[in-house]
This record gives sequence, C-alpha cells and structure tokens, in this order.
Amino acid sequence: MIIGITATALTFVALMLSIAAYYLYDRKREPSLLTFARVAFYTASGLIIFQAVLLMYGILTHHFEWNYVFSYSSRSLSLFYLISTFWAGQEGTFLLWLVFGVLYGFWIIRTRKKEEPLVMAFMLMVMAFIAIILIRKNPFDYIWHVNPASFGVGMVPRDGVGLNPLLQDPWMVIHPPILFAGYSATMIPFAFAMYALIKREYDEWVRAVLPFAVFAGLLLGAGIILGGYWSYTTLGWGGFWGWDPVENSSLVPWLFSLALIHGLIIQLVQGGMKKTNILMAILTFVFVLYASFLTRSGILTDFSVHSFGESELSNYLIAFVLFFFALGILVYLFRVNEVKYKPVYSSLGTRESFIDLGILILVLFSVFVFIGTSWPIISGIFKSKAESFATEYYNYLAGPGAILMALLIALAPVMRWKTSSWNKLKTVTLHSIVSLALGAVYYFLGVKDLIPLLIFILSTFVILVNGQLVIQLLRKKNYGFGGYLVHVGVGLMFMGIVASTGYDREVKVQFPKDVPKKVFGYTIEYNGQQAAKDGKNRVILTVNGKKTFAKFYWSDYSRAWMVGPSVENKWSKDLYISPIQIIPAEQSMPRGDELTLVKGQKIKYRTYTLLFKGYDMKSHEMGGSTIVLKTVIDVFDANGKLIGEIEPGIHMHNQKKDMEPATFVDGKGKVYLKSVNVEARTIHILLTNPTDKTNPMAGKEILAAEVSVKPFINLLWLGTILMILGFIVTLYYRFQQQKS
Amino acid sequence: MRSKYIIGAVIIIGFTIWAAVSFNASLTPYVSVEEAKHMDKVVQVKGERLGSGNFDVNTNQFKFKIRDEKGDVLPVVYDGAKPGNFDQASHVVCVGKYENGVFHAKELLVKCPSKYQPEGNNS
Repeated sequence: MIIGITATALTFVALMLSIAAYYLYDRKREPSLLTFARVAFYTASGLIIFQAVLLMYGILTHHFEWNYVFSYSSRSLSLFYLISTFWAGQEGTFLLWLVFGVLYGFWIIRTRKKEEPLVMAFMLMVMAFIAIILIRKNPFDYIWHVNPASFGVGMVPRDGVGLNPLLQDPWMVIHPPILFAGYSATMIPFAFAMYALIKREYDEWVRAVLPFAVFAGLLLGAGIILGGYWSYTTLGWGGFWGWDPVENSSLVPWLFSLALIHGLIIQLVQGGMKKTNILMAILTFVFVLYASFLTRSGILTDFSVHSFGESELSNYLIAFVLFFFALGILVYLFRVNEVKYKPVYSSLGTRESFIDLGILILVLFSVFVFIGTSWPIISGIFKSKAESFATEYYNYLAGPGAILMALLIALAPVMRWKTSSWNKLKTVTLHSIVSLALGAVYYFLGVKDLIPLLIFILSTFVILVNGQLVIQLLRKKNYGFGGYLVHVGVGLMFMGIVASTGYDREVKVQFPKDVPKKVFGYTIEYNGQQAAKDGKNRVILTVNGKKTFAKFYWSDYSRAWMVGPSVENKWSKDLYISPIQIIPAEQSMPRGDELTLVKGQKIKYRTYTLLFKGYDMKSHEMGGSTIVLKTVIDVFDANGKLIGEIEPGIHMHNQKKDMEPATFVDGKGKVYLKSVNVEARTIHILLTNPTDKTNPMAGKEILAAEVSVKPFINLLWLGTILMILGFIVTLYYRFQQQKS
Repeated sequence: MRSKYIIGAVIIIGFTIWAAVSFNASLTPYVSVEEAKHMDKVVQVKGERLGSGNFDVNTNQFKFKIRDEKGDVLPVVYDGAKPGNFDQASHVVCVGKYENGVFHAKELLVKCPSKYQPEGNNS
C-alpha cells in the first residue's frame, strides 16, 4: 500500500533530519535549529502514529491484500485477538517499538530540556535504524509483492492465514507490548550514557537517568514474568521457565538493567562506579538488540521450542547490533581514560561493597547465560559442528548464583554507606536465628538437599531483613521502601522457584476413558473430549469429583496438535495435568485372535462356529451426530447347536470412535468389532483370549498425560506481584528525587 | 579495600570454573546412528522418521525407528506415550543412550516442517 510505505520512508527522512538538527543545535545553540529538530520529530511521530493506526485499521477491516494482515489474522478472530495481531509479526513489533520511541521522545522533551538534544539524537538514531528495517520489510506490503508466485496483482485473498493459536491467549495480548515497551525503554539509558560521554558529564547524568533505568527494569521484568505465566498456563510443558534462547535473551538485558540500577545508586550516593555505569548502560541496550537479532533472524531455529520467522532480515539485524555496539564502545574507549577515577574508597564492611559484589554476580550470571544461549552460534563458528547442551547447565549456575545473591540482598541493606559497620550485622542476629530455625523446619518438611535448603534459609533471611525495612520506612511515610519490597519479592520468588521446580512430583499416566485412577492421592478420571467454539477442543477431566478441562486440539495454522494444561491452583500447590496424546480406541486393542467374517458364511473358531448374520439395523436410528453400528453374530457349539448371539459394535460420536465390545458366549472373553467392509460384506473382529488377564485400558480411548504436583508455586506468583509493586514505588520515588 | 578485590576475584574465578564444569557436564553431542551405537553416554541423534511407530499399552512404551543421513536405521524405545505431533514430524531428535541393541530415549524432540518451507524441503 503506497501510502503506508511512503509514510515509513518519510518517517526515516524526518528522523534523520531531526537527528542532524539536534546535533547541530548541540554544537551551535541556535534556537531555530532546536525548533526544526522538534518539528521534524513531531512530524516523524505523526507519521509513526499514522502507520500504527493504519495497520490497526487494516487488521480490523480485514485488508487481506496486505501481506501482514493476511499472514497473521483471519476473519474468525475476535476483536481482542485482532488487536494482538498487531504485534504477532516482526513488522508489527518493530512498529510498536517506534510507537514507544515516540512516547519516550515526548517524555524526554517535556522533562529533560538540558539533555534533550543529544539524548534525543541517539534515541532517534535507534528509531531511524528500525525505520530502515521497516522499509525493507513493510507491514503495508501487498501480498503479490511478497509472494508473486501465489497471488496475482490486485488479488485480494478472502481470508487470512490466522493467528497462531498459542498466541490466542489473554496473557499473550499484553505480554509482547510490555516487553517491547521495556526493550524500547533501554535506549533511554543508552542515549544518556552517550550524552554523558560526549558532554563529559560523568556524574550529572546519573540523577537524570536513574528513574529511566528503573522504568526499563520494571517493564522488562514485568514482560518476562507475564511470558513465564503464559507458558505455565498455556503451553503445557509444565514450567514457567525453560532456559529457552528466547527467554534467555530477554533475561540477560533485564539482569543488566538491575545491575545498572544498583551501580547508579552507588554513584549517586558516593560517586564511585562512574566508568562501569556508562558501560552497563550501553551493554544493556546492546543486549536488547542482540536479543532481537537472536529471536528474529531464525538462527536458532534448531535449538529452540519457539518458532521463528524468516531469516531475510538477518543482515540488517546483525548490522543493527554491530553498529550500536561499535558506536557505544568506540565513544566509550575514546573517553574512558579521562573519566576521573573515584575509587569506591571504602572498606569491605560497607553497603556499596556488598552491592558491588551483587552487581558482579548479576553480570557474571548474565554473561554465562549469554554464552550458553549463543553457544550454537559460537561453536558453529569455531567447530565443525554446532553443539547443543542440556539446559541443566543453567540450573547448575543458578543455584550458587542464587545463594550468593540472597546472602548479599539480605546483608547489604543492613550495612551503612561509606563507613565500615560490621557491628551493624548484630541488628539482624534475630533474623538469622529465625531463618536458621525455619531452616530446620524446611528440612523436616522435606527440603533435604544442600543447595535448595541454603536458598530457602537465605531467602527467608532476605524476606525478614528487607520486610522489616519496608515496614519501618512505611511507618515514616518514606517512599524509599520500594527497593526493599522488590527484595522481599525476589526472596519469595527464589523460594517459589526452588519449591515448585526442585520438589515437584511428576509422572506420565495413561487414563483409559471413564476409568478413575489414583495419582499423587488425587482421583483423576478422563471423560472424553469436547468440541469448543474456537476450535480449541477440550479434554474433560474429573479430579476428586470436580470437573476440569485441559486442551488438546489440532491446529491447521501450525499443522500440529496443540495442548493446554489443566491447572488446579490450591494454596499450597498446583495440580498440573498436561495432555500428551489421545490414543484412539482402535490403537489400544488387547491381544487376541483376529478373524475376518463374510456375511452368511460359517467359520470355525476353537470349538465354536461363528456366523455373521448382518447389521443390527435399529442401531442406526440414534439421530444427531451419534451413530451406533452393531453387528449380529450367531455362535454355534461343536454340535452345531445355536448357543447364543453376540453383537459387537462401534459407537461414533462427532467422528470419535468408541468400541462397544460384546461378551463372548463363555462369559469371559470380549469380542471387538475392528473394521467393517460394506462392499465386500465382511467384518473384522478380535476375540480376546479368556485366559489372558484383561488390561483395563484395552479397547478404550486413552488419554496420555503428564501429571505433576508443584508445591508452593504461589510463593513465586506472590513474589512477582510484590516485586512489580516495589518497582512501581521505586519509580515514583526516584522521579520525585530527580525533580528535587 | 584490597579484601574486596580479592573476594571479587575469587567469585569470578570460582564462578567461571563452576560454569565450565557445568557446561561440560551438560554437553550432549549430536552424533550419527553409527556413533551412537558405540558411545556410552547420553547423546542426541537426529533422523528421519520411519513410519508411525507403535505404542504398546502393556509395557507403556512407544517404539519407532529413525534413519540418519547416512542411511543407518536406529530402533528407538521411549517410555511413555507417542508425542502429540509425531505423525506430523519430518525428523525426530532423540536424546538418550544406546543399550542392548536399542536406543533408549529419555527425551524426544519432534521437528515439524516449518509452514514457510515448501513440502519435501525439510532439512
């Protein structure tokens, strides 16, 4: 669509003009240049908003001649999911990034007049780069330009391909925009760092940037948490975190942003960490770019459960990462030597020393996650064959990492800034005694492994120490409690994660239809399938007499079977049932003798003679979508005397076949109708051997499912909520502080 | 002052060593069928799916075969039901160990053909 593509191109031009004008204004300080720069930015903003509205309009009104609309939406989607189509594909997410860039731009212009020229210039540079990518891959491209082989010029498809069913989930409607708001927000600290370097203001920038760093940390954290919650409740692989490249690549910049926030606080209080902070601000942003490269270039397709798009943008994305990495590092190296080194002149027993060590651990952990995630690429370059490794690697690292982190998070808040104050540790003696005592309780409750037990004890310590600080500050109406509330949240999260993943019980069970089974003390019964309006067919389960549902459905979009778990949330644990497969009745046949009977012909079977007489015609008249087919077989004994009639049948309901076996005349064996050939007038039956022990699953539809019990996962969710709340309070507090 | 750097250095070195050890322990090399038969450790074998396999209700095992690029066929046994998308998969990655003539998979990754790829071109 020419208007849309032109708007994208003009956006790029306007952004470049604005960058040039901002830069010149910064050198010459002519007011007209500032006006020009702002007008150019406002123009770009108008164009970006126009494109966003246009894309949304195209999605809502089903303009399937646009490739993007065709590829990600369809007429059957509800309004809710049509809206989320906006960020279902790469073009849409890049456009979303630009929209957030516009908001942040206005924010900077309104609140940071002093830093505006250079900060805006660097932010707009990032946006201009995205505009280039959008010109290359435009959301308004006509389908016949993208795919001329299948679509003639002017041909409007009647319906779109549709939205990936996994994304048709309420959590998936809000997760991507929040995560992208966070990704986009990391360019603010980056731009401030560049400003600091160019202007040689290595100290003043800290006060200005800290609230924005908190803002980015909040959004990245919230986005990651929502993604985890989505995978737990929707994907059904049993967890909230899988150390998947997509997850890891969002985790690394988040951990870096946390390190940056703490580094900035140290510098604000006592002036140290000048060089490190600038570097961390640059790297946080570069890791975001790297994440978008990893997840969009398709390079890790073989190593991830996520599906990736095409790789046509690879080169642009590599250029994107390398350009800003090089720009940041070069300017940094150019200036770093003149940054006055202000040593953190304090001894070990100070708060800044403890925070420093915490930053070190965050950074180290991030770097090793980064190396692990990139290993398929690294090993692909240096070795003949790309290597893969089990995700246990990350768990091995996370254990000791969490122990050290928890220890520092518990002790740092007690220590005094600048002056050594080991004796302050005495104030938390009671907390440590309580934690150890609770540790004994945890031990007897079953936490008997060293690393989990240590994490439990130290997390309790974290919660007690930081919780007390939260209460003390709240009493004084001091909003500085946000950070400590985040720490309480982290402590709860550590405990929830260790309890629910380290002490979960998990078993694969086969549930024959309508046969209750005891699993982990629960009585679980599979009661068949149920069609759903949205095509996500459900699996009916009864747990302790209560009905619950999981999902198991075929997706035309993904050309695959999709599953969704049933999650029964109890206060102390979750019962998590995730379908693996539904085995149709005819594939779960017991062993026995198989016979083919021809209508009207007698056949010998053991000492009996069987005669297939015909079908039980009455059985057809069930009406609706249910069909019952029964066959009538006469059984004669060795003397040719008729001793009985058996009627094995098939029960069809909504194309689901159920066996209706008959009991053989001896009262022991079962007779199954396996198949019917109407034209040849034959039927195929299976007679079980009466001496065989009958398998209760035989001849029944079977649900294979993974059942797991996840203890205290609610601690994790509670922790995430407290953490987000703490971040919001901190954000408010730091903005107040910035103003004063 | 100095003690802080010593502690920092200890953490860095300790963490790095720990990471390297963990990493080596978690490496599961991609090998061919022939190599898998002679290796006494957990490996990954990727191969083309042969047939639909069959699930044995009595032993609760799923048995199938894969063929690697060299044409060697590997019988695989998996404790559990057939994965949901097995029949749609072009290739299967089996993580496990070869023992007594069969490959005991503890994990199966089914590779579904990407919807962007034309049929028959699933590498």
